[in-house]
Amino acid sequence: MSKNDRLFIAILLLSLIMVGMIMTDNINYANTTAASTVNPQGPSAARQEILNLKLPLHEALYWKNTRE
Amino acid sequence: MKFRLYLILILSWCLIFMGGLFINRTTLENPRAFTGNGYGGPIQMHMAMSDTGTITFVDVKQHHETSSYISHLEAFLKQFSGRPTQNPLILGKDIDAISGATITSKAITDAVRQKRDSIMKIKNPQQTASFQLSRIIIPLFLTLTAIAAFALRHNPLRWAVLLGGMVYFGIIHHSMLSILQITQAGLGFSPGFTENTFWWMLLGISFLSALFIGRIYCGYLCPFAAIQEILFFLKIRRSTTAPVITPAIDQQSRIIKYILLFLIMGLALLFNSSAAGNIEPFITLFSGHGSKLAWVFLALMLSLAVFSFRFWCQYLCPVGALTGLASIFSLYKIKPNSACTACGTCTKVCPTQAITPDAEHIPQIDTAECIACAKCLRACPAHALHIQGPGHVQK
Repeated sequence: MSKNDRLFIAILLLSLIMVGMIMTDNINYANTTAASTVNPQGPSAARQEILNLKLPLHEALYWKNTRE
Repeated sequence: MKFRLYLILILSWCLIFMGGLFINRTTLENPRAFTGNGYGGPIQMHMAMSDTGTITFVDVKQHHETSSYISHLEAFLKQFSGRPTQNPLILGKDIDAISGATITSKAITDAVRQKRDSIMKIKNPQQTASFQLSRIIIPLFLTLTAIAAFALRHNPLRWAVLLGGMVYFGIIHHSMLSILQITQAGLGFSPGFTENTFWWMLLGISFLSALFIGRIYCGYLCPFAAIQEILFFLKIRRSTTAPVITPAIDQQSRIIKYILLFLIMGLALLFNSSAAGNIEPFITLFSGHGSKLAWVFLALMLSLAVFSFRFWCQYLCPVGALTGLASIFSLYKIKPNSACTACGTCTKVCPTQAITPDAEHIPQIDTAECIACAKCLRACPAHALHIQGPGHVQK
């Protein structure tokens, strides 16, 4: 294996490691984004209740403040 | 042997694709959310309003957009808070788009406006025209010009199409064929034709042309390929496109892009998200958005393009891998006829090393690696290479 071959393989491996890290970051971000909006324990739960009740705004705010 | 390998790869990919369509047909959706058609599929949203129609907040529950494009989603959504009924809620008028994510921004804005209007029973005459005929005509024109450049073996015309594609798809519209679209399609998501015409045009053009005449998209229309070729021809290194590594290592390294293709599809199915496909450096380059790591990766790919002809395309690009697999079945292919003297000139000049001589030194063109640049057609001293169609009898 020549010097150029070794250099090429090293660069290719470095590229693949970077691709893997970017992929992991993106998947983590996508999962975090999804979790924050669908997690029933999260703040969106209060919003979901407000929407379901279809309250006027001032009553909705009162409802939200008493629940959180 | 190589054909059997390609066949296995194609069948495996088809199975993954069909599996994705099946999995996502069984997904239940929240009936209380309303949706807009984003770049990558449906965007599910919630909204709260006062009884006078003033919007208090808009929240995105689920989306399939590219994460780097919508990093400022929260700030975008805050624009809707406090908007009374009188506000038209039109992108570009009273709502500012997320830079580089116009389609996503428009999808959300249109969906919020329509939901508000339906709740308040407003008949809003201000409908934005979303369909643009130019987004069909110009890509078609570029594709047909590319096919003509290939058929006529016209290098200046090829460069004109390459630069035109770089400007139109890359710089002006930030829309190019991406593995994101393919994974979205595999997950069963697709935007409406009028909402995202480019999504359909790019998929259609690239795969139909691959099945017809080869990797025309890769060789003539891809904006990132154009930039890589420009960098390479800065002539920093010697002018030949032949790699300086052992041919065996070069050929074996090309399998990596197929592995990446399947890995991305598999991860997309596993997480029900196309986020795994957001690795392509041209997304960072043309959108201007990306993590620090993505920018470093882009810089690495552009640097390597100076020394190795289309490094990203040859070894890593999953889209190139897929269009390559499709081009195996192309109707028209480059083949030598009986006038071939086995001089090996075509093998030497091929920039992607897609030509290898057989036992009798007759050149065999690997259509999965060929980018249809027609360099071999121009270089052959015996004019023995031709674009041959089905049913052609070799003389």
